[in-house]
Amino acid sequence: MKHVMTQNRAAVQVLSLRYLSVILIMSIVAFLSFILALTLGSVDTSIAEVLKSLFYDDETFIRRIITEVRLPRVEAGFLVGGMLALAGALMQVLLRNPLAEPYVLGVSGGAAVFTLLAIIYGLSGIWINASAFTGAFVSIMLVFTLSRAGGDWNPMRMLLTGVVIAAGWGAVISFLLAISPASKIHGMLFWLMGDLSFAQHTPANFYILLFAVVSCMLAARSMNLLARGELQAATLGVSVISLRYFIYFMASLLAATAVMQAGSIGFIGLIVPHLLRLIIGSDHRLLIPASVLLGGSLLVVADALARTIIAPQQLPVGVLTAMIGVPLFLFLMHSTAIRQKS
Amino acid sequence: MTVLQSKSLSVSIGSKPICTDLDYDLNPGECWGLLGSNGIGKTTLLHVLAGLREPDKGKIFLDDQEISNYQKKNLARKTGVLFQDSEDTFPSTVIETVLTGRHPHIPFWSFESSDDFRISKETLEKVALTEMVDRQVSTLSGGERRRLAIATLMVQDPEIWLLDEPTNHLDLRYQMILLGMIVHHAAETERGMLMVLHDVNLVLRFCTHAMLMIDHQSILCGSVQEVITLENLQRLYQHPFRLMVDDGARLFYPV
Repeated sequence: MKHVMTQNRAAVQVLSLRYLSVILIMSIVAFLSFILALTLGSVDTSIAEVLKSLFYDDETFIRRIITEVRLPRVEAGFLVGGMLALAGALMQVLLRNPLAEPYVLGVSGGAAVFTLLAIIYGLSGIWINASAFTGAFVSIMLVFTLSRAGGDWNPMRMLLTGVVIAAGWGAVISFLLAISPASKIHGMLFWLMGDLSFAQHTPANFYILLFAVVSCMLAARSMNLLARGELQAATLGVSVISLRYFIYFMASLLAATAVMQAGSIGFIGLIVPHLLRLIIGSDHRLLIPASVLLGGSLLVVADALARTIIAPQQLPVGVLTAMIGVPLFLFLMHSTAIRQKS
Repeated sequence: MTVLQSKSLSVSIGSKPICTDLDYDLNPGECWGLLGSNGIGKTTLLHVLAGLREPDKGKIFLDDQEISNYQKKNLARKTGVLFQDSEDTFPSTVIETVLTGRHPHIPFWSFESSDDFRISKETLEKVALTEMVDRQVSTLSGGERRRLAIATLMVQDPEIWLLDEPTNHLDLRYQMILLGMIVHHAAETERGMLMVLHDVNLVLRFCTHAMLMIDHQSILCGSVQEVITLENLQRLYQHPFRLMVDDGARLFYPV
């Protein structure tokens, strides 16, 4: 009996060691991305100054720039990136399609149409965010209702419904851009490509992400089974129907909140979970926290570069996420293919 | 030791009836072969018996308790299914895949224990996949994947096993080894088994009982000796058969 117990402890240790080391590495990556983003900006600051401002309290000009100007934006970026990456990982399991991403069910299209309308009618500030959330929510409900018309839940039909509705939103977006006055086009394009300068840094974002991570972690082992097919999951004891509802609404909430904050930032939700599946495997107990940390870090770094590359002009952060994400992803996929062959 | 029962069970797909008022008992230690022509509804019936699909009418009982009253996880300890095909959308290794069979046995708050690993590795050895423990499932051959799927069910080790064409993709040697192992396990640990097969002679060799789905109103159930006859097989497959007896064993072959 005692022998069995020590054996058990050993195995748990092996698993948790792997688990902890991945989380530790990802946390270090996240910390470094924070330091980098806090160092970069229109006022020159050194890493030493950043560290000092974070951990010591003194009333200097530099410290105020770092903690009051840069830090809120970095934090907002991290939360949005984490939400997008987690929403992407969830959509991929729900639709059992590795190409799924947070916007696949039309969330960003719906949000964009409502936001562009708000911009055309001259609304600003919090009203832009509210319009985006409303649009995302309308799209989510539309896809949900239409794809379940037969009473049955079929991932392929849901995916097709989402893709078609997204295409419909796309047409409306083009229409709105075509009829808008030139003075408003610039702001519209920034919103469409994703931009963190609208982001409102509120504690609500943090709590939404925290709630999502904790509840998804509890369902992570069941998600591992769902990824292998609904019948297989059901016969191994997963309540497939309630798990699907949970994933659908959690992913939608995250995507809508992220879009509301920062417009439709592409690539993070597709590439981060994918990249991690290649490196650490598909166990959602690891994939979920790792996606949040890496997604957050990637967006923080991309935003820092977007602010500074051609300063004082700013680029939309969506351009940078794609510029970093695309080559990184292609390189990793290529090297994995070569490794598997040998 | 669990008994699976169906009482006046009626199942249909759309307007096509699969079975009408079927009363069926699967007792511990029995091994049933399910035979029927293509598209007659063998897989659908298997899914209904596993509780994966609602019947039109009638009820299914596990140990006198209705199957819909079971908690999902408890049900997964009682019944398990080997599906015709397995999906692999996302990358997964052989050991990760076989460990999923332990899910119903692992408490909510726990990770896989070293016992789960030990059971999984021992089972992989039984199906001769030990050397592939860390391989990606997508790199395995059809037969290797089939052995992996069977190993996953062995690791789950439910009391009722429902197997949909377990011999798919398996060469003759592994058909003998794996069916022999499954049947031996059923007899030794009093498991109840129901397997869809397409080879009458495998049913004769490995099963104690047979279910012949001729049409939705005539589903013949009984011991292999009484159900598998020349006349019934000709009705089942609409094809003439001949019987050969060799050393006391019966063999049917199509004319």
